[in-house]
Amino acid sequence: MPIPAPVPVAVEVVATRPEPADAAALAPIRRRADRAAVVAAYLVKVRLAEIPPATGAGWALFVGELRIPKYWEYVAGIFFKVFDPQFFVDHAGDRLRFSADMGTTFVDTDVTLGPPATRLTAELEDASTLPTQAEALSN
Amino acid sequence: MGRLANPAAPGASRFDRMIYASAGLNYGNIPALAAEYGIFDNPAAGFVTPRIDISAFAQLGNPLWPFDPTTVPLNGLVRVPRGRGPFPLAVFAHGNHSPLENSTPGYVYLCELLASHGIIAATIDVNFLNGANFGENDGRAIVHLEHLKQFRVWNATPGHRLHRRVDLDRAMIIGHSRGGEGVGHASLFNRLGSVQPDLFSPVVPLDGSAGLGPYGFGIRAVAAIAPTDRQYEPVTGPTVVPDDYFLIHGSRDGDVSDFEGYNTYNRTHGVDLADPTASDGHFKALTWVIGANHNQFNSAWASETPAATTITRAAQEQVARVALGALAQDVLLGRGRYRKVLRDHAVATPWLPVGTDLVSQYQDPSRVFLVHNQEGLGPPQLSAPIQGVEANPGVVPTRNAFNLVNAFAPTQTITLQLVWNALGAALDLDIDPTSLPHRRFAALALRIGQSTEPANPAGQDQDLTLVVSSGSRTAAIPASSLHRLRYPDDLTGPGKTVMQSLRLSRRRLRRLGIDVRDLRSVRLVFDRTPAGVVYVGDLQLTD
Repeated sequence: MPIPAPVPVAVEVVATRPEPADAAALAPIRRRADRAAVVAAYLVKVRLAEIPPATGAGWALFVGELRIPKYWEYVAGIFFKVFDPQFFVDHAGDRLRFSADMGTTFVDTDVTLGPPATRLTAELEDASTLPTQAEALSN
Repeated sequence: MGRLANPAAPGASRFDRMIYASAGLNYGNIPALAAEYGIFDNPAAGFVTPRIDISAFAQLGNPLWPFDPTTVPLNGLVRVPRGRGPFPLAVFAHGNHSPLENSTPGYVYLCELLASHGIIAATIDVNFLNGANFGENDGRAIVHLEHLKQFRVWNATPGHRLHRRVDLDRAMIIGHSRGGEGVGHASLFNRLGSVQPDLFSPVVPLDGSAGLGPYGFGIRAVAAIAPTDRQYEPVTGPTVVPDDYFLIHGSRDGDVSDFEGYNTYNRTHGVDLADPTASDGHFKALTWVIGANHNQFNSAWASETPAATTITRAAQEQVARVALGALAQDVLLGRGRYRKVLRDHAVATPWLPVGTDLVSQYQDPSRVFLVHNQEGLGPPQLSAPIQGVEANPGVVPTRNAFNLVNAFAPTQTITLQLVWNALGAALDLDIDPTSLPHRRFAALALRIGQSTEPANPAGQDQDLTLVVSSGSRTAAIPASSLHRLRYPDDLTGPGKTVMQSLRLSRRRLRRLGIDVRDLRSVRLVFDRTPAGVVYVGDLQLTD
């Protein structure tokens, strides 16, 4: 593997205003009556010591045993999107790990996914009070 | 059949060069992007494209593009042969690279070769998916297919320059690096009416009802240049490419250095254990280019390796021209005689730079395995329905899912390891000729290679004798008379055992008195070197 694994320095979960493109993913969650924070799109921002170069090879991100299917670059690191707040309950405290061989071996990190913030479990009746995704990814 | 013309030489067709792009991009107003992407601000007349919504598959990373994932453009550079057509279509997609550099023009050298032979050839813009992203190769596949759809739209638009000039039933998709993984997914998606990108995403229609698709193009071949594998994995499991598949990769790849594409290759058109003689009707082939690196397949990317360790860019581009030119001649232009180049790379020697060193594999859709090794980890055996007895005097045989090419992921494909320590050791396969197919196949083919294990002297070719018997006749053929079993190129690690397909033609065997319909035995006799380790993928009767 020619590039070293990314080195996270912090992880931050930001509840953001859903965008039109999120509607399909949010629809099944909205249909579940027992879900509280159904109106937010959560951005999990993984701040990195250094942005990796854009290469063909890369590192899959895992939260505990779960492979995050996709992640994306932003100004300070990488992020992925979560729509179901239950994710943060299920994976609270799980360590972020990287794998270059589809989960056979791992490079562990010192960063764990924190427990759900108050903001995540509270009712978010008014999405307009949330930051836009572009705003959330600006730093 | 006359002598094959060099498929890397320009053809006689004159062609036009066009830029197609979506309206309103205005890259020229964005300082960070203007120099690289400004060419897409001025598409040719009639070549303005719509935007597409790929938000179900992808986000956009940095830099900030002048669009979001719901409105990504269809931009590309296309070379269109002059004449009425209809012409076959080849579409290239780049892989991951700095998004501040436009990777699209890097395959113009291949587009212009194909266009000169009467193929519409385009290289597309997928730069907006580039960056420190991961897992987005389904998005690359969707973009690739939407470009093909755009050509279908133009082909169906009266008055358009491409009206009735594009033959969508003769299409080839080619991708490099992550784009090389993407074409495998595109081959799969091309046959789907919907797809669930991942477990956390809803099902996305690909039937046109929500903007994407329908597809269903006549993809004649999928070509992957130094591809990644399984960065994106469908919910149904790792992608198995359903179309004809060609793979090319360099031994000095400084990026995708683990030859992940070999796992894609192994999964594709594999043996069906429930019906081992069944074929899905498709071929697969690979070319392993000794000394080639990753970036030099794209003329716009700076080399990622020191020049002293790598073949020259000119040489690497020429290898790509020969390989992809021959593939296009075969599958797009109906010149099946060019399949010879895939069957045996020695055919290409006159067209390649002096000193070019290749390893190649080929599996024809018409084949019966005498040995395929996929039954399990037990002792080697003849594979059903072929009957017979196996013996291995002086050889230690081991079947396992060996990671021959350090592909950084578990492999499911079983290979047979043969270790010997004295001259004359052998693997003997005594065949019941009544279990052989009645059909006359064109060749007996063995897939075999050596490793960097200590029993193999470093830097030296390995060799053995193939002893083939039918009726009362026996012929002995040195493997080295067919191809080198070269020592792996091991500059940066343990080396990769890329097996070579050795083809003994029916014609050659007949000259030696051997009737392939009446095979009685095939023996691998290790009488040319006193010790060694080789790996055997399979033994086939094949066309």
